[in-house]
Amino acid sequence: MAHAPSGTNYLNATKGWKSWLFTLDHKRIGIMYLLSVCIAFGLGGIFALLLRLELLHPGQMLFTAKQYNQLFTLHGAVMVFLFIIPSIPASLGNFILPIQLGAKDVAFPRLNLASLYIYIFGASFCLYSIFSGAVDTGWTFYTPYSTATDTSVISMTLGAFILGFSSILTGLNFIVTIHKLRPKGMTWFRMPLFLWAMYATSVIQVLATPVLAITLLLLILEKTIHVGIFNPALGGDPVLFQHFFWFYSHPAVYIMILPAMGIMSELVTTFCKKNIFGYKYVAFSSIAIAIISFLVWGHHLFVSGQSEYASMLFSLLTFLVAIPSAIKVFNWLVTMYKGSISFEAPFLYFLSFMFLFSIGGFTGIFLGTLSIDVHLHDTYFVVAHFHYVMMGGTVIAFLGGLHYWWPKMFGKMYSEFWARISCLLIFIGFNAVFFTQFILGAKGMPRRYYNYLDQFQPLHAFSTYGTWVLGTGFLIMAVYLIHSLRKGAPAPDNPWGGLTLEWKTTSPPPVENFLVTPEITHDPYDYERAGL
Amino acid sequence: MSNNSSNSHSHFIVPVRYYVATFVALLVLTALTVIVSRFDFGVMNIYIAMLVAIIKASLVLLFFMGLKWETGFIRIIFVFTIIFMGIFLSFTLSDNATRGDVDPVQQGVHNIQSPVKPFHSHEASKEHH
Amino acid sequence: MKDNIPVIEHHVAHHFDTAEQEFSAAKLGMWLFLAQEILFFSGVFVAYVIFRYLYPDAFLEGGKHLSWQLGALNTVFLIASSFTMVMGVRSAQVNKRKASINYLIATFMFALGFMCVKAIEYSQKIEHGYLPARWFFGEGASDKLHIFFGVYFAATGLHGLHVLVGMGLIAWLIYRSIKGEFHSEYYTPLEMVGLYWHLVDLVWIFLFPLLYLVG
Repeated sequence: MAHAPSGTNYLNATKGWKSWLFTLDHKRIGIMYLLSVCIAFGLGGIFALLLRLELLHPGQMLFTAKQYNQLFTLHGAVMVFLFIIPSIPASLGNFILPIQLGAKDVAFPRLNLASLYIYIFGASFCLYSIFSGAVDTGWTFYTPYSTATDTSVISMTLGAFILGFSSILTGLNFIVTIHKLRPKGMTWFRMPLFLWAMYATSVIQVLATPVLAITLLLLILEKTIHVGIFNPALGGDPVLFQHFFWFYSHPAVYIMILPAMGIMSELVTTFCKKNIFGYKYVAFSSIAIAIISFLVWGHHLFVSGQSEYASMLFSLLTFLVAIPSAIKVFNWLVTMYKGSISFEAPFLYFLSFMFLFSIGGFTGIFLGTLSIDVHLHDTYFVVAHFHYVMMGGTVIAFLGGLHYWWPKMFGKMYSEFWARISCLLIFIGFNAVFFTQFILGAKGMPRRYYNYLDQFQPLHAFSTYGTWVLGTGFLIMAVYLIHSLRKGAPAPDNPWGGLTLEWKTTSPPPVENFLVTPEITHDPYDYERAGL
Repeated sequence: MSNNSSNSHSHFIVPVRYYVATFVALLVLTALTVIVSRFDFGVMNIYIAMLVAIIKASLVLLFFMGLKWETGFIRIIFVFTIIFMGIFLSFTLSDNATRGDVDPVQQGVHNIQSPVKPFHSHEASKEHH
Repeated sequence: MKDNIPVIEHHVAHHFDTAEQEFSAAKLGMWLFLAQEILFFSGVFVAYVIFRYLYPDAFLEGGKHLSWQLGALNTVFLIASSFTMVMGVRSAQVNKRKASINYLIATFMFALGFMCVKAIEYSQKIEHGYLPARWFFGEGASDKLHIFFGVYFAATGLHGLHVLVGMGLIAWLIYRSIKGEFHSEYYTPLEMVGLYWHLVDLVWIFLFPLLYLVG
């Protein structure tokens, strides 16, 4: 294996802020995205800590009702638009995709940089809106309240509109990269499953996000020139807004989970030293999820006044979309069987995901059942469900991927001990916060409520204490990860013994990804043939 | 390594007659669109208008945009785009069209703040150009 | 074919192996972009269909306020501009570079004509008060008439914005063509902008009968 002359890699090849801000290197762009989404996560997390603090006791504690509404709106909007949608694709995806493919870069490097600029521009709009009359409509901006409120709906939705383009262009770039920049030998079915997942994600990003764009634009027009399609006072239909909004936002949750599932396939094969069970099933299930995800959005409208026939149709399709996800979970589980398992931090995150995402997925089926949803809609049950899939699923997988590829990206090893402590705290804290909320919701506690009946107080308090455990876990993680950048042990090219292409180059990789273009002669997880 | 572009474009250059024929056909169909709109086919009006529009659109897509000679994946993208658009439209319309079919609802929107001034004169409709 | 335009060679980007690969990547990327543009416009079409379904009288009445003659003229302008655009691309493909520039200029002029007609139409609406609800002061039989005009302005406004962007792109192409960047070895930007321009034409092909020929 060739080594770069005296440690030249993509991090130190060129210096100065201009070499970063005007870079065309997908790896540097990925790192800048990583920093951005982590900051966004921190901001969204602070909003969460504050709002849960308010909920420690019923009635007013620190915030007024309006401020509380602003807190949960900003928590949602920042987490969804600034953090979770770009999280895996733009950071880890940007870094790893070309390398795992065997390419030198993405298909359109300048477009990639433009996506980053657009992200920063859109995020700035959203942040500005926080200070200019923070939105209090909920991140879903339902009309007619969003057309009536005097808070900064326009700047927040403009920010989200701009962020949408960043997402679209990243997805476009990835699709073309996978189609056109595959080297000789890298056939579709030799691609690692992370790439299949990124591909399916990108398809959703390109086809669904424009509908968000037009929805937000029409909302802005409704507010400014009073078009009259969403505002009932003018003859409009507020449920139509919900159709428009969820046509994007439901596929959006699959933009969130598919990359996470891709990471899961990487983690299970590497840390069990075993070929994935049912490669083609896992690959095609990603595509199936992408397609079916467009058919189920009405399950968010079950109690909004949507017609019963439409609701029945959407409920049936919702059950359908669970099937490919379940196929993946079973395949990962079976992959573990008779594997040679090692329990480093990335794999602990894999195991956490299996448990937490399964709970999230099951509870999604409960909510997709029409009759049950009548009782559970707009309660804490829903809040718990989507946190189990988005946080217990996507965030956990993101952390797993971050720990898995950290040595590759930065050439440094973090402290395995503290990583396990952090993972444990996050797991315990997460369940404390959100399992409690399943119970709260089933007992009837509505979501987005500032005040509540005394009988709910103990459960609310327990959930709030959980956020402190969760927050501590993340704080520890920030410390040891940043510490590793300075003082971490130098990472070998292949610390985990993986077989995919990124482990065949140096840690960190050279600017051109490979010193010697690798030859692709076997399947991505061929541990048996590799004699391991 | 930068490749000087050699004569590596193996693209098919479309003969002019395709473009001219498409152009003429589009003009004819536009005239047809207008003529057909003069007749009243009742509920079929919009479907006929859309049919002509779809034919025109197909000509633009196939010949001007080259879909006729394009690779499979680009066609797949286009087909899925139309399918998803169709789903968006049909599922949403199915909601509005079937509300109140199972449980009764109070249909319609009442007492809206309409900016429209009712007519003062007895003419029911004026032609404004 | 001798013309006085210089020939600027195109260099393939370093991460592509061949010019063919680069061109085909650009084309795939452009079609994906068009796919998202179609889904973007689908929002206004869905809004149109829903409200035409709910308030057919308002839409019937609203359509009568639009001049089908001007709409038809605009349709002809855009169809002609699509023709001149595709001929402009083809001319570059066969190295008829002066013709390419002329076709691009013609495309620009047709687009300009479209925008002028639109300006006339809009000013007529403004004069008589047939506007979105915020500024609507016209008379009408249906009390939902403002919704038709809200949709009309949203749809044609967004479309018009895309026409303007297209005009900017075409002007940029004219400039680059005069500099000599496009020839039979490299015409990718021409073809890509061409695809975008045809999409703008496609959207109007549907808007015209839906807005102008109601009933």
